[in-house]
Amino acid sequence: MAAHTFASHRLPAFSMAKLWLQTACLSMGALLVIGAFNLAVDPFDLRFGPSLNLERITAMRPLDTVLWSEGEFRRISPEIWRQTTMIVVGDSRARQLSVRGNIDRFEPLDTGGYLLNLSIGGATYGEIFGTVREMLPRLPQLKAVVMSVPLERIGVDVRDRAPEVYLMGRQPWRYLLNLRTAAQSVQLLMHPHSLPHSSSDDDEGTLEQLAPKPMISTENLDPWGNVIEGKAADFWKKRIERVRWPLVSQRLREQLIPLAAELRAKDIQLIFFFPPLNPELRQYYFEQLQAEHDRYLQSLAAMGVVQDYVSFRPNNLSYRFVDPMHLEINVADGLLRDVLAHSNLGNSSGNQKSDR
Amino acid sequence: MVFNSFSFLFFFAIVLGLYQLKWSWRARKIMLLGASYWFYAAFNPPFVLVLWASTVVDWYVAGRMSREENARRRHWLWLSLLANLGLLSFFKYGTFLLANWTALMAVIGIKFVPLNWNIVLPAGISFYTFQSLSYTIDVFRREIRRPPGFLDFALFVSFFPQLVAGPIVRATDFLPQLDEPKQASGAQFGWGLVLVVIGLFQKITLADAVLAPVANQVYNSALIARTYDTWIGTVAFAGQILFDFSGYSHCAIGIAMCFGFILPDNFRCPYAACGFSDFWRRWHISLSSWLRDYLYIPLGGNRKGTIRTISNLMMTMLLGGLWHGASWRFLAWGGIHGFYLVLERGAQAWAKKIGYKPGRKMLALFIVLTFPLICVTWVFFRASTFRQAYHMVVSMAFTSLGPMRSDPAMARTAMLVMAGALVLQWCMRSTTIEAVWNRAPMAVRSVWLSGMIFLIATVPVQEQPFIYFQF
Repeated sequence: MAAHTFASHRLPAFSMAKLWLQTACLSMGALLVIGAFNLAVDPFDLRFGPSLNLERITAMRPLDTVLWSEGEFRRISPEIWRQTTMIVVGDSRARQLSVRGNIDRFEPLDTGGYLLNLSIGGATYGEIFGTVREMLPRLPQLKAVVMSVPLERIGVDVRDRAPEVYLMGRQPWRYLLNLRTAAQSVQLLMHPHSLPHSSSDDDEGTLEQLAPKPMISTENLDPWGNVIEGKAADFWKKRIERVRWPLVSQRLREQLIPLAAELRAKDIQLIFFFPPLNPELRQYYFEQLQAEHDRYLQSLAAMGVVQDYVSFRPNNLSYRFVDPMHLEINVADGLLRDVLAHSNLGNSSGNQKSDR
Repeated sequence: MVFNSFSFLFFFAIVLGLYQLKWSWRARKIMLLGASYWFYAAFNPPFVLVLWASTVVDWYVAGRMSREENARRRHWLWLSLLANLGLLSFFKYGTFLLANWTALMAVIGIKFVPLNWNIVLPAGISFYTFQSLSYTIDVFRREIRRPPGFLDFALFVSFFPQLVAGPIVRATDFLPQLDEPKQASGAQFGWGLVLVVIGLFQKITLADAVLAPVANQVYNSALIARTYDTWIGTVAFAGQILFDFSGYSHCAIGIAMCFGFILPDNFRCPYAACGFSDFWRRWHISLSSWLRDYLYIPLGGNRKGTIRTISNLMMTMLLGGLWHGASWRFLAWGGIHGFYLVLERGAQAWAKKIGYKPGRKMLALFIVLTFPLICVTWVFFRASTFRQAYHMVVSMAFTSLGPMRSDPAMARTAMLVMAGALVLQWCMRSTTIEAVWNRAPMAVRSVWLSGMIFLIATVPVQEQPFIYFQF
């Protein structure tokens, strides 16, 4: 029979009552101190007024990075990997581009082979470039890469960056009794005029140095960070205020140039794809960033084919949006067909485009 | 309802309050049984019926067995084995067996389309099945001569602190505790709470907040990780699974102690093991001793020559691997451990033959080597597929050098925690937490305990279930 050992045989000999009394005093005291400290500094400006300080929040490291999971890989058979001739990479706006209604990642092309959508919601440029680099060895038949162009920093949701901030509305104690809030409080006290930069933001380049971004208020958000119905356009306008020249920082362009050269050397077509914006937001975007947009387009055109759906709309397609940034699924499908039509691997004939 | 949730805290306080009332011992046992079923129903209410069916069958079988003689006793034992292992096979291995059968048929050219049963695994079924099974085997062996009443037996199978993830308690250890009214002494109650705090600290602060994000970053990414990443991710997972499971065990032992019940220890500084047989004397002790007593020794153990010893070891470890989950990866995990044990046994025999006795330096080297070799086995435990495990192991062999992809700050913190944990385990390999606590001055104990409570309350982390719940 097993020779088990039992915790009770070795019960500690000291006074438990005294231990727990001391412990209760110490731990309660420590929790009160950190709670009071966080409440006094209030690093996210949650106590006085309705604005979230996005500068501070985006400077924090997200809890986890969004990357392709092994589980998603397994859903796709090796055969499809081998026969894939085209991939789409980008953020949530590119993620919508799927004929099968956003359920499956792959679909057969009329010209043979498969199209694989490897887009990641909220993806940054660094993640998009990384995805292409890592996927290349898995895709021996690859002929084209459709790279959706996100507006830098616009896709990152505050909730991903600092979830505890969103708990404030429901569970204030989780925000106050929080080591990360305390760390942010200390940072703020030590450097009241400069914001800390987390390691995960490094690959986002030097945007802040070139053009400090304005604070974004939460006037269009409910207490839990959701966009209030009917306020979506205003909300995205505020976000577009964050985007300044260069739309892609110098450091990221330095990563993109060799990647584009590598693809060219392997005879893989690179298509840059600007997903459309809703009319109101597009007008606002061009008022703010017309010159930058055109210059950006030119720099990308030197590296691949540019499909600009912000400026132009296919004649046979009317854009319908679920929010100012995201198309309805069936419209996105039509858009995908248009993109394919302008590649060497197109499914259908190309469409004429109307002016913006 | 997991220990690291507010709903459990509420449940525990109510059950503890009711337990303190001046009811008869039988009424308090009925209350504990009801609470245990309630606790289990919180995971998935219909599965209480599975738990109940398993309990009824084993209680009835054991009762009949105790009254029968020789051959008939064996028939009843077979019935118990069939019922318990049948339930386990259906719920845990049904999908796995069907998938492999389909694949096998495809190989010989037969297209077999199985029904999609969509089987859901009842929480903790492997734990309570083994616990219940050990009881009928003990009755068969006449190690238990007086079968208990149904109430006592049902409470033994379903006692909520250890129902879902162990420790796997033996009837001979637990049933006698139900004979007399139990009430925790002040020292037991206080120490039980200390164990709960230690368990929650291990689970919430170490496993979930520090180590899991690093392991997940490496293992959830589809990118083939580089050598440094695979080692960092795997060492982080080695720590995560230890603190997750050991945290649960500490909580279970502590909660039971608050009611006055004594459960066996489940971990004893496993990463300070000197060799693999030593590792299994320290890791998941209640399972390894179960496998030894009810599988390895009945198979013949080491008494029937070298070949049989090797095959018995391999069989035990392969089944131990399969106990964790219906997957070839768990089988591989068990197989590698079996291989390690066979190798170790061979080396010991050879050393004995030539009269070699390792010195202290050599023993220290064995300790240092054991941990990384254990880590290699964890790759198969954690990876999502065999393909991923293969890539990870190849990468661990320094074949994919290059800049690290893991978040450096998170990785640094995780590795510092693991280094501290390993040093602490090596320092405590021949002692116990209780002995260390006894030696420490009162002020140090209070600060230590307060520090753990402070970190449990303030680390930013989402509530996560215990890993072993899935087994």
